[in-house]
Amino acid sequence: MEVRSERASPRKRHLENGSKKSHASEGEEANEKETLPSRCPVTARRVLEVRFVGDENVIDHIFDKGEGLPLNKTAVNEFHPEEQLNEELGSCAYDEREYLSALGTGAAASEMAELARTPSRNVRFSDPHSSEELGSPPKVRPLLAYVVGSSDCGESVVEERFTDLDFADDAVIFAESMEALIWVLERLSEESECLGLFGFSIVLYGLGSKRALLESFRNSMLTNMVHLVINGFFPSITIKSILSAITGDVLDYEGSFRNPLDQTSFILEALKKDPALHIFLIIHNIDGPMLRGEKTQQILAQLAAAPNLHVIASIDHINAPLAWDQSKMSLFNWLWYETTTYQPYVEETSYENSLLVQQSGALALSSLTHVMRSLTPNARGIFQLLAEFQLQNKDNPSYTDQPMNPHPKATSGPQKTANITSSSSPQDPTSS
Amino acid sequence: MTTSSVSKGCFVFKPASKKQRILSAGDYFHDEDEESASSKLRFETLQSLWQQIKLETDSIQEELNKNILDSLAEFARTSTTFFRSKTDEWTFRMRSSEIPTAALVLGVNVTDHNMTFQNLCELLHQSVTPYVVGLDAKDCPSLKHTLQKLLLHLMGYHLSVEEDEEETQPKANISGIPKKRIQCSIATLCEWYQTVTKDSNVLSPSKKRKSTLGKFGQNPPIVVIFKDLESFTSKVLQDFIIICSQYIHQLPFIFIFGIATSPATVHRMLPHSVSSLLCIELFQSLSCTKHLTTVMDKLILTTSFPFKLNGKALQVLLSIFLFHDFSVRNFIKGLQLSLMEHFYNQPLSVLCCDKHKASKRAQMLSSEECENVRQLPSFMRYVENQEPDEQVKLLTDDHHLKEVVQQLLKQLHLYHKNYYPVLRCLHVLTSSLPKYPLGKQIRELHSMCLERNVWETEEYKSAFQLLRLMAKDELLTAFTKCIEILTYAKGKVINEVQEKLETFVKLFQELDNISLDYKEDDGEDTSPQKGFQQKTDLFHLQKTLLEMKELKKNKKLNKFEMLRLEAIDFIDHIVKKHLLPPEYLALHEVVYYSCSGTLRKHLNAAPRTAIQTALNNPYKYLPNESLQSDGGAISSTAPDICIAYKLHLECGRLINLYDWLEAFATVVSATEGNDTESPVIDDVKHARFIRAVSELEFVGFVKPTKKKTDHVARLTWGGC
Repeated sequence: MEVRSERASPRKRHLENGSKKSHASEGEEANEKETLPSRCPVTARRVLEVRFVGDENVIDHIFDKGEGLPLNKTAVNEFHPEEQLNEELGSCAYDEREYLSALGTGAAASEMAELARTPSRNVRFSDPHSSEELGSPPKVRPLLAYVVGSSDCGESVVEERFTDLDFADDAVIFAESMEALIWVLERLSEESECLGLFGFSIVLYGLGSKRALLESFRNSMLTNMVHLVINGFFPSITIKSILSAITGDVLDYEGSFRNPLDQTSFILEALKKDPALHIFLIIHNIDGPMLRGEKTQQILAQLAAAPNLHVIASIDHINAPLAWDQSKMSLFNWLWYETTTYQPYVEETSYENSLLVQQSGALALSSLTHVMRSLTPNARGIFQLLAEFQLQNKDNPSYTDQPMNPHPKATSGPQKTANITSSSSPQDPTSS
Repeated sequence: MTTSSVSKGCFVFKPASKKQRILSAGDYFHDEDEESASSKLRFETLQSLWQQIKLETDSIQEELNKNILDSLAEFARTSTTFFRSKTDEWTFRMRSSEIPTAALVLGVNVTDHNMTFQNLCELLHQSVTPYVVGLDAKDCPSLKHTLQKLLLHLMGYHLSVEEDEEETQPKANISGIPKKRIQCSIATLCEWYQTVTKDSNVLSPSKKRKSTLGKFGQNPPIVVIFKDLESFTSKVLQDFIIICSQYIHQLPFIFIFGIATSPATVHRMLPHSVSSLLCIELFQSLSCTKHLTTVMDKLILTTSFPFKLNGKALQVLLSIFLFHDFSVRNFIKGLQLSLMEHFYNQPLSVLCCDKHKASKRAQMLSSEECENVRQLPSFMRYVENQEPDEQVKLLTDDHHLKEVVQQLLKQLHLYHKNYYPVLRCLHVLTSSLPKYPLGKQIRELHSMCLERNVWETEEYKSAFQLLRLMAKDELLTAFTKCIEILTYAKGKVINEVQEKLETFVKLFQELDNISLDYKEDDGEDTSPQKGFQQKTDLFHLQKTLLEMKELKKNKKLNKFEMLRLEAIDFIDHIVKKHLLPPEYLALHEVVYYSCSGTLRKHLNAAPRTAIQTALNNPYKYLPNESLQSDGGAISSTAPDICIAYKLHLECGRLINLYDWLEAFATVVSATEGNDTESPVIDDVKHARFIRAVSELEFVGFVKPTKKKTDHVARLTWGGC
């Protein structure tokens, strides 16, 4: 206990320093802006902060670990004023609590899914105080809460604490309308089930992530059916992996195929032989970058045309319908459902194809997550110390990046990768 | 099991129990507040109806294609005999290297073509040759692939694309060629063809082929169908044709080109040197609008299907057909969807079946369903028009209600029985009028009648004015056609109408006999006209015209005109009696599907518009007062992505990220009541901005660019 509080206090001090320093650095920034025509340092900073945002897993992990920590009274005291501030800011023109209760009823199914997926998360949410006590730096906390709260927006009621913050985020404001939306969408999915069996495929369109919706549909309607979930937004998905999943895991066929076309015809043949077998393909983002190709779409269309294979897909890109010509359209036999959810594209944009992450081809962010998870608490502490040190010196031109990452994967990466690690690690409060 | 992972994009879920529940779509027809028996019944009705529709459409398609397919088969046959004829004939040598080719113009409705080709293949298979190959452009990106596909189809071999691949092993050995590596070339095919044809004469192990070949004579042609000529690469096609023409002596090729646009495509795709190798004959398939007319005739303008579409729903389906794809298949798909929606959403659709079944089912209505009946708007209207005693009885006594429902259903049935013949008659009468006031096609007239009282429309009035001026010959032919139509339809009312029309025709014909009187009458009329021709100055012209007008007014109508007036009035009367819109009938909800909006949404969606509306005007989806923006103002309470989107609309092709961020922060901090001039860009705002931008990128509005640091490129036009 003592040790911990001791450790916490220097960090506090550091943070205070940091906040002061940030003011200073802002001044510097302004100076730089004036003096330097290029805004390079500014960009670098922005990139640093950005990297962290989409990576839900890191935060998950942080909270997983943080639960075990005992109460830290000083920390609580410290947070108090800020909470007040939050409440002040939060009491804007809308009533969020109302919204949240509405959300809770609307998204009961998806919450179930959430529970089934990560029981540990549930614990976390049900006891928001524990995460408060983590001693996460106050400057960072809103950001964290923001990410966590909104990423699970519509999935959990108990996280009230987090959404009770000062951001006028997305749909969070609009209680009744969202409830109505979700209700309508659920009705739709019930109906669509029946339609799917008639040889129609279903495509969902409209702004907002449709993942949660499809997931809840899957959990409520498809539990007794053979079904595949395909993440079209996944950066390295291929048509081959989809087909192999069908042949290997569903049809239990061990052999290999010469090309996707052969494989497709094999699947179609097998489906014809066994009309009692119904397979449901749920394709999140059938317009994903890897599935956009003409050939891929052709194969998917051929599969969709089979009477006992049903496709339920979602599209997000504004030009997605261009992927299908008339003959593909008729093979798919689409029925369109508008499902504007306004849900943030958390999962979809968390991969490396995001705008603000260097397009390096390697899975930098997600591999980082894995590395962090695999570390022992001690190693993580060291890792964090190093990262903090790195961060402190990020504006120091004389300080060159040392290969300081404990993991070979991260060190082998370019300097950018190192920056990423350093940016995300200070949020890690679990240096025990 | 989660479905998000950093290493996997594809997740398989199998039900835990090995025994998979055998699912039927009927399971999904349950409603909590309804007995499963009736929903099951509903589902069964739906299925049987759909089967009926499917059979009907298939037979229509077959019938319509029969002519063209027969002529194609005939073409193939004659070309073969040509090939077999004596080789030393001069004409043969002249045309020796020409490949007989049929250019089949099918129209732009590509989706309907598959069916046609399937039928064609079957027909050729049965009557002309066992060797029919259909090639899709998507399978033939190169010559190698094309040849491979061709050989694969013909010889039943499994060939690899790479000729030199070692593992290429023939899978089967049907045709008697020894097991060896197969080269994908026409030479191989040639060899194979000779073996096969020889085998057909001599006894050989190829048992299957032998029997079939006997039927087709010595040298059955090889028919190659290019299903979608436009999509083929012209290089591949050219090479293929040149190669084939080299082998035409050994291999009797026949090509069939499926053309969607116009026959000129052939010449556009093939240079003269290649197209001169083809001996092209043109075939034109039936136009899709005619196809649609037949389908409408058989499926919609008939009493044999109890299910009906109301005016708006039909209009939606028709406009999708006419303005989007010309695809009959899609039209039928729309019909299927409306059928399904109707049976799924309308619990009373259980009564949507033929007359006898319907009255039986009406007797078995449950109390809940009776309540449903009472809540139908059309039934409520019916009740309101009844006596008070009857009203009470209808609203309380289930038994009585059932009887009334039976009666009403019978009335509804009778209405349909009379409606269609009368509609057809009206169409016959008006379809030849100048300018087609009531539409050229019967479907236009039909949707007009469905929507409102047709006799109240301007078009109807002008049509009848024209009808009243019709010449006798035209009128007579139209009337005889009407009588013909009415004789097909049975029923008391219709028979009466028919008799009446027949008497009219008789009267008209009698007029012919006394037409001499007419001519005398006409003689008087002509005199002023003669005078009018002589005088040409304006004053006199006006004067004579006025005189003529006076004359006309005063002139008594002659016999023919009187009769004509009477006949047209009679038609008018029938129309008013029988062409009521279905909305006036009680219980029309049972058989009419009316959710045109649903149909349009599901079949003819506009995903991009939806996204842009959601971004531009979130109030539409999230009706919160604070979102009601006037003009170009950006509401600070809008979702982040909307704010970012609106800000990006104000930029040019390249957007400076930092400026964007600052603007974003300014807008956002307006919410928080910060009056400070320069907003503080804190971490939260930063994160929100980043997320909004990456979401915009994901949706496809911006993309990263390397042209300028810290900039993103806009991908859409317009905005400010």
